[in-house]
Amino acid sequence: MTLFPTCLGTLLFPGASAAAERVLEAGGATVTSVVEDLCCGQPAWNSGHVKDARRVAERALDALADADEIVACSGSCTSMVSHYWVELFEGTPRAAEAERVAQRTHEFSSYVAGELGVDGLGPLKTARPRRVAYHDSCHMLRGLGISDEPRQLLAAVEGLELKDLAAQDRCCGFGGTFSIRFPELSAAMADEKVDDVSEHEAEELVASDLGCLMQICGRARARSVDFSCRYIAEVLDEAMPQTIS
Amino acid sequence: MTSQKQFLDTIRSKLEGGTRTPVSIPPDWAPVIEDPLERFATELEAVHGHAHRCLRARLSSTVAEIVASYGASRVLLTREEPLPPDLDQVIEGVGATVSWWPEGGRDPAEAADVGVTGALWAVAETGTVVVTSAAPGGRAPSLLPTVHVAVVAASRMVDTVAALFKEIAALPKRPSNLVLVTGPSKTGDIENILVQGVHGPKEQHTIAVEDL
Amino acid sequence: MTEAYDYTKPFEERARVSLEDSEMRAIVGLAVDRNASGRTRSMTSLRDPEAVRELGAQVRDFNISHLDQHLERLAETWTEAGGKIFFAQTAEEAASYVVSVAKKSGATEAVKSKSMVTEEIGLNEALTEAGIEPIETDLGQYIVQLAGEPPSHIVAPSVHKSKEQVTDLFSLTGGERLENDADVLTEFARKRQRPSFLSAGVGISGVNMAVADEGTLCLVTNEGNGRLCTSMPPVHVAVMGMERVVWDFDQLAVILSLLGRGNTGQKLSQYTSLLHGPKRSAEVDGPTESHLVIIDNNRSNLLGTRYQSALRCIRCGACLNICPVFRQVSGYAYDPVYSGPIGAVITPLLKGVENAGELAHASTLCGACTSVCPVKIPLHDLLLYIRQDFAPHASATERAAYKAWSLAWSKQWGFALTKRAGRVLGRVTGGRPLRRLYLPLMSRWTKGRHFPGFPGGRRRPRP
Repeated sequence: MTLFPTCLGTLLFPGASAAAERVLEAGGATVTSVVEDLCCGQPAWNSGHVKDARRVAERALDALADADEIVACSGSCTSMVSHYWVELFEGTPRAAEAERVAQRTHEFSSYVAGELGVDGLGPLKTARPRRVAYHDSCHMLRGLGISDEPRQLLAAVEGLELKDLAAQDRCCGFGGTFSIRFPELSAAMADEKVDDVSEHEAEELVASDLGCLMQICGRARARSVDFSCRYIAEVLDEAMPQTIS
Repeated sequence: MTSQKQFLDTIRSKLEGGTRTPVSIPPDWAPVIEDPLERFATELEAVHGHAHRCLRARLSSTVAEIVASYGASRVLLTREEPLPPDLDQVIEGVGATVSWWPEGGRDPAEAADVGVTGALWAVAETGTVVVTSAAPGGRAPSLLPTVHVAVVAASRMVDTVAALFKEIAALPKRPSNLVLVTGPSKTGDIENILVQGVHGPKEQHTIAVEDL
Repeated sequence: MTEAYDYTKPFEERARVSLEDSEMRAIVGLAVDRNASGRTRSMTSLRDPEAVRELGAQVRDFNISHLDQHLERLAETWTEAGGKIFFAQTAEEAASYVVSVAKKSGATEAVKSKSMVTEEIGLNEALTEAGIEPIETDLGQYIVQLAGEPPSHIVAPSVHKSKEQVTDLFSLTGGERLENDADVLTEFARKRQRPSFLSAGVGISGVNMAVADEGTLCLVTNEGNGRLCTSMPPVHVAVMGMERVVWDFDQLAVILSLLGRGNTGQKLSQYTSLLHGPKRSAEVDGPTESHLVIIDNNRSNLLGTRYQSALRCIRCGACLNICPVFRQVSGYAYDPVYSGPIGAVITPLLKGVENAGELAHASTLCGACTSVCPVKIPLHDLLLYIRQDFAPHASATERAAYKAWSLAWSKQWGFALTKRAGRVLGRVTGGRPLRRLYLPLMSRWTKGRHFPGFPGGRRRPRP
């Protein structure tokens, strides 16, 4: 299969996609290629600049067109490819290809829990027992309908205590370029998340979207509120039995 | 000034080329109601109304008890079914003065502490009673008095809002105003604090009358 | 308070005014949360809530796709019931007609049951100019009228006001200090407004739903003011947006089952009034004249377009109550009439995308609105489409920025260059999280957030 780290993964969080690759392999998948340096076009698509989005997405389509199975390290990019690429490429000669790629693209945690099965990862035990909370990013929950699988994965890790948040399905205020357009408003929305996490005494926030994690933790740091943020693959990676090479 | 024809033609031309989509409402979309009379009382109490049940023989005294419980001095009655014609005497017996709608017009209704009216139906799903503007009823009797008491035959209880509208659709003569009354008037407009009694009646009672 | 909201300035500035008012944000947040959870709870009393939403969408699509036929039939049946009908293409025509009816009635006062479409057409201003005093009787609408403000929420006009503010307002109006208690304040409004209900020459209302084949207007209120406005004055005028029509009572039952629940979590609101023309000759009371004004005001712009589904809206307010942006900035940040997700969709469509299209960006496209809409309007998709239509009108800077970005990232070398730059910055900053980012546009990220750091230093960035 092909692993799609996404632009945030490539540019800012290479550790996140490296962890994803290790987890997928441990689960029995064969990662034949990791397509870095690609963007699904969402930043321009969400701002209504369709041509610009298509220009960028087309290079991703080139790279993914022949893949049998694609796993993306982000709910929002998965949603862009699997839901919106059909609309983005409608009426162009690439429409059929885009449709095929859309159907073959999966989000990381739903793939691991659904296709590979969490048991395939071996016994999961963390060296740092802690209380964690999971944030349902909007694209995961409402876009893709995925909320059980990440929780199943976290529940399988010995040493993690999963806390529910009061408003775990409320948007964190990232919204991609929204966070740049309206930074004060975006920060105010993040404040509710930060307060929610600290009120429930979670020591770590886990999510399947790097943008959300950047947003919530970025705000927490600015307010000196102390909890860590992890991409879900990194939580699993750390808890997997480590092979000594 | 646009004419009706121009107005509708604009719409028609914009809809051209689109699809006129169909609709099909399944007959069983509404909730299933167990024990309607019980359910009615639960629903009405939940919206801060008061539900009563009595046999026909006890109807006048039930109304009188409600009037007395408020220490009410002025009561307005209508001559609607199923209110009995001697209701005024029983109420005068607990010390209130009675006016009969529409004698005296609107003023007795505005002055009344309690207005007692009939009702066409009750709805179990929501604790609703349906009042009518048709003579011998009117709009003011259920609206202006401080307390409204609606009397409905238990046999005219329907299960759901959906079922109610089938009944309304089948009415041979439509009055100018039917009102589905669900509890007393309320608001949450001040900091979402629930306040009972705004412009409509402050209290709402429904008596479901059963025949033997 | 609304002078602080400048609609000639960008949304960001109005949002800032709201964000600085932490008391208002707390009040609004509590209110919308209560309504939103009420909605969730009450939907479960429907046997199959999703099926009923689907039914609601089907009913409304049927209505909109047959709108000309529905309205034609409505005109027939309303006239048969003894009512008068007026079709108004524009806001001016509508306001003009209502004013002329009020003048002819000799009224000096008009009691009003809250109607958003009358806000849209500026009816209160038109009545006042004509020497007729409009008296808002919905408690929330009365509060904002006394405050000289527009409504801040399509269902709960005074949601932004604290109890203390209302006490001050009412005390000033009544000329004596009132107790700071909601019951006392409500009783004040009841006593003060009662004479107007009983003496006003004309009553004006909206219409929640007209029933075309039955010549019936359905008006939904909790306070009783709607019934009083449509029953006590000798003349009644109902004003409706043209899309607010269903065909028959079966369809009305579906919509009513969704409206109360979506609104405040009630199965039905306190008063659902069915109006069928003026009083009958055998009836004792009720208006002797009953007018229905049907308004287009650019709603027809949506017909036959990908926005047509927005006309399904039954104005329940569920989308406002769930929106994570609305709870922070509340209604005034959007537009004086329609706010929240539905407002962000229809305001640009009614006023022109080039004029108000920016409102569609006041959203993270989180999709919560779509998930709660009782008639399944794909609100977050419609917001995206408006952004597409607005893009040619975006600032030159924005368009240039996206163009440059897309040209760069459509090439492998362009992306690689970005990656390289990130690695260099990472080495320079040691991979540390950054409190400030001195980069164009990206500097706005660090207004209130730390940046996680660039890779390529000794430390690996964590979000």
